[in-house]
Amino acid sequence: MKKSILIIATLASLALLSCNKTEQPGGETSEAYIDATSKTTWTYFSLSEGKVTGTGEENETDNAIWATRTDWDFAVCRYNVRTNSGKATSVGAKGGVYVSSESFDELKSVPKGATFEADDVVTSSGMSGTTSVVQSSATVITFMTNDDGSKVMPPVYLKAPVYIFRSADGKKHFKVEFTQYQNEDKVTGHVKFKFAGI
Amino acid sequence: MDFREIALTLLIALVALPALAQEPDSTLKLDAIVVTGTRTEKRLSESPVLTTVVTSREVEKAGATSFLEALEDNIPGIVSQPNGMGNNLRIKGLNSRYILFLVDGERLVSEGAGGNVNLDQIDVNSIKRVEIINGAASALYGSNAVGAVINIITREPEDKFRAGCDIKYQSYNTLNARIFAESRLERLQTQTSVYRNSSDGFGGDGSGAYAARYADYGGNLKFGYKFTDQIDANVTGRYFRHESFNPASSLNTTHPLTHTLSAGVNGGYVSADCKYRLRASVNFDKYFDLDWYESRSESKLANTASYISARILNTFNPSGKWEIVGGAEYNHEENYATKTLGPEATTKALNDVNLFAQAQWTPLAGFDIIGGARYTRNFQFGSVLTPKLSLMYRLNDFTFRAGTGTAFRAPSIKELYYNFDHQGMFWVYGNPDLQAEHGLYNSLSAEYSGAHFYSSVSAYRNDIRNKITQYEVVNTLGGLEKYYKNVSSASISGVDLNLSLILWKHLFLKGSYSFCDARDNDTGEQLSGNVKHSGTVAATWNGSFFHGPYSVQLAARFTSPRPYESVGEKANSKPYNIWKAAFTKQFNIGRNLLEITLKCDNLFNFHDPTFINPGRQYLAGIRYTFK
Repeated sequence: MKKSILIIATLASLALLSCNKTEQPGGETSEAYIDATSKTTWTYFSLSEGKVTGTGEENETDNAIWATRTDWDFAVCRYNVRTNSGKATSVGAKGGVYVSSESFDELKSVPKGATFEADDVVTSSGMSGTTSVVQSSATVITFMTNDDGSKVMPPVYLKAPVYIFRSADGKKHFKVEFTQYQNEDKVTGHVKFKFAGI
Repeated sequence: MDFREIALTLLIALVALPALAQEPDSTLKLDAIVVTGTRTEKRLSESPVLTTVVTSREVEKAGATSFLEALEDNIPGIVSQPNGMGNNLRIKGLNSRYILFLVDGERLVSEGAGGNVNLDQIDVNSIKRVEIINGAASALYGSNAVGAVINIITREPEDKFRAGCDIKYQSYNTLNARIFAESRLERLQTQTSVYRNSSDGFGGDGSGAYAARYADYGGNLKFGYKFTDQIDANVTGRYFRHESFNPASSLNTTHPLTHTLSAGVNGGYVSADCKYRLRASVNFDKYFDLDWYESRSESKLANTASYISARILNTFNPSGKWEIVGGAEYNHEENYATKTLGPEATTKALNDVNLFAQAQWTPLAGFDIIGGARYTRNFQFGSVLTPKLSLMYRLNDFTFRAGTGTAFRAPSIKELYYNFDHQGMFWVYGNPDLQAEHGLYNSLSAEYSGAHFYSSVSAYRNDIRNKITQYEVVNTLGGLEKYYKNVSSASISGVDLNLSLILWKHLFLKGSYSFCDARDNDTGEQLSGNVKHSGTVAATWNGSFFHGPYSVQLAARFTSPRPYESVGEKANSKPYNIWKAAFTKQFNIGRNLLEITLKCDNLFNFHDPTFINPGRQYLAGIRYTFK
């Protein structure tokens, strides 16, 4: 019975994509889920609308299509994040990210003088060779590392800082905290986050 | 005054104490009995294989709280980078797949990535001594005895009844607690111990070196019965549970939980004239690797690894000039995996049968010739013959040894049958056509063993061919696939020096130095983790005051800079220079014994990116034994 309730609750949250709106001082906090299990698919999300806008593959064609759109504010692929800014837009969208040092509850407004970082091409050398991807420096999680910079094995996923994402039109700001990367069955890429306008 | 100041003050005060009353051990114990070099009991100075021995008293005087620490204190150049996958031990550039770990002559199951053996399953308090022999020893021990054999000899009950408890508390809320009881009667001997080790770990906040918080439980059991003076039977058991936790800020939904279970039964017969000593044994070792699902508070089995070994061993002494050890052995190894051997839960097994013999002939007083061989029939890759030959000559306090020995390492189940899709990031495939690796070890050594001075020097070369290496292929979809094949070779050569000295009856000095050149013959580069220059030193003052002996020890281990690669960059570590100070004191209270231990580890707060250590640590321990 308990399991059934859990399954129904999970399905409901998947269908609605956002739920559990609670009143917080300074804004309404919502929670959302993104399926980021594919290592090649970006899931685009509108913070203003509180829902997934759509998905696109990590390739030139799909990236070019989404670069012309302004109906998304950020996107997730595995633990990587893209904002609607910089090299990720071809129409001058004004998204971007600011990394906060405050907790989600403490963060009430955009700090004075905050500068928002735009997306850029990030070239990385991994086990499958060198890849270049347009993305943000923000990530869903960070990895526990050894003193020499290598990742602790097996991986330990740590909470990323609280981010402030700017909307694609540059007019709104949302604080975002990623709260899940693995689901209860240990499968990575099941991303949950909470967000609120500030 | 905090705990650290109290500990340091006590140490300094006690160093200044004069040695009074009782005489400490004033000679070097070279009549100690060792077994690893021949599978029979030999005096250390008469063993045909140069053997390094670490005794329980040395472990206690160094305040070592783990088997790994005892090894680090005594084996130069040992490198360990522990993480959630194991101790990741390397000696002379060789990982755990090339080092055979035995407990009372029975191998520990290799359980994880890189052939890792979890050394934490060894209760350091159960160790009587550790015997270490370098080089090829497959003639007696079979697969994996390529780089070294490390044989842990466990304690036997010594008194009619003895029981006690032992508690050690260290920095980072690290607690080692143990209770034990044992009995030795005319025909029956029993021994039981239960322990708990736990620690908060360090670096969980993401700063500096990281080690996970853990909680371990374990126990050891021995039961022996002598039916007659010629026939005996023994049952042994060992259990270890290890659970390590995620740091508070982690988003992992599971944490590791492992169980290691070992059980054995053995029996012996000695002929009335002591010419035949027959021993039969069956030993079972199994490792369970589980994930603990935190939100559901339940565990799920991910992998198991098990090993069953059955052996008959006979030692035949037809005359004072001959000793022949021979036997037959059957081994069965099995791995179960839910992900790494295929997309579905899969079990794979390996079997081998072995015949082996070693003869020691003493044609002249002080001169021995030792020859032996093992024939292994492995049902996966075929047959292997591993012969050995060595000579030993003793002249007064000098012993000279020369030897050539061969070794093999059977490919592991994972190397043969890996079929692992790592979440679409990369794939690993085993190669069922892999052959065994072969080692050839040649050595020369000279040893001087006097009552107050001991020294040895040995030179060696170990050639390993047909080495199994992982290589990578980018598939048509751009994905990375990893395979294994027998392609590379390595040559390891070096010199080891050991020195022990007793001065003024009370000061015991011990030092070792190792030079090791370990090359991958294809690349010309040093094997990963090899340290060219390394050494250990320990100065121990043994004395006695107020109802019992005490010891004060200052010890250090050194290594030259070690190359490492991280995040695609090559760099060199700092030269390691790690010191520790330990104080032990025993109080004889009637028939009972109270022992205290104080230790400061990493005395000078050494840090390096390659050194997984939080810095200076303090320990206080107490043990009470009653008879």
